[in-house]
Amino acid sequence: MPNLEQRIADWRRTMAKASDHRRELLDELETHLREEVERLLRSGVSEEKAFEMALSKLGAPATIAAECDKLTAKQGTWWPVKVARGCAVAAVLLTSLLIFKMDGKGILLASHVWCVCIGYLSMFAIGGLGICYICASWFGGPGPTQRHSLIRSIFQFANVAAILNILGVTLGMFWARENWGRYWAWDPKETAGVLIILWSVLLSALQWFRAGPTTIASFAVLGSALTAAGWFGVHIKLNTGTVSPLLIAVIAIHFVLLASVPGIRLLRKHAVRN
Amino acid sequence: MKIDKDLVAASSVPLILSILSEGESYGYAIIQRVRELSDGKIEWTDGMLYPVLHWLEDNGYVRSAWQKSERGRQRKYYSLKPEGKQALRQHKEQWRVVNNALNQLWNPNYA
Repeated sequence: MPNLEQRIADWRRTMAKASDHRRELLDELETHLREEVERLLRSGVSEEKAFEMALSKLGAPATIAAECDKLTAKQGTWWPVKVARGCAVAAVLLTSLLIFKMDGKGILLASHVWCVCIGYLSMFAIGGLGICYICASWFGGPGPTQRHSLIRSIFQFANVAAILNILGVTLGMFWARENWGRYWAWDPKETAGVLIILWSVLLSALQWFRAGPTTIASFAVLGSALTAAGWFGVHIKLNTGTVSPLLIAVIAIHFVLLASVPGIRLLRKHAVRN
Repeated sequence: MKIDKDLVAASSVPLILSILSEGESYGYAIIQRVRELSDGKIEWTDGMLYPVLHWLEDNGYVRSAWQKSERGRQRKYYSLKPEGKQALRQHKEQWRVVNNALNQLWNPNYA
């Protein structure tokens, strides 16, 4: 006989599937379910019966999800998500065009450059979405439907980034073996590549944890700062021997925004209380 | 006597806005308050409240924040924004007109 926690976990999985993994809705419904079960347990109902009664009062997952779709359909996708998707399409086309013009460099290097460029640009798209979320949060923030479209989009980009970064670095290793006689040497580009891979995998893995939108946005902004330093920073340093003040300013903006996140949480709590 | 499903749906937004005008609240407490106010005659499927709350937040009528309750449970609290107060005023006017019209029809002595 499954215990209460197991039953709630099973219900959450079913509800998540039905509701397109709307995290906030799931968390609220679970809190509601637990409160009702607790009330029934206090009134002397058995655990099994209390769960069944609470579940029946809560409603069928498909019905709740359908109601949610109906009411939130008009809101649609948040505009920064649409912009990010448009930029992604443009970046893929532009990068493909540039790679096509890389005559005589070989398929291995061309594929490596294409994968790494799109992977790193995805990290910037994720960071851009995180920045939009943090900025919007200062002015009341996007609503639940827009937050859902933002989080879903961040994870889609993170999945693409993780796969392409891993593939790109692996292809780069084989190219290095053919041309330089070794797979890996921990040079600054390779080290930065590994760090960006780790961050994109971490971001992608966040979807399996109960992280809130502010936490996800913060990780996204940090990922963008890391990619800027690891990609442009390393190239500028290797090619010119200097550190770009513009790049430092861009990374500093990322950290200023991150530093403002605790303020957003306080502001939101204060606004609800008053 | 149970209230008709369509009437329950039509009254959900003014009911939620009115309850929130009493102060910040969360989903479970809102449902309990509706039951208390209607002596259990307004029957909501509990889960249906949340899409409506999200719609209200999407449209800028309410704001929300996750907070810990006294018992340590994380709850999402909702409160009215000025736009929500304005929407509530409009709902009140509309429901008063309906109430007044029905009262005159069913109760000829109603002034």
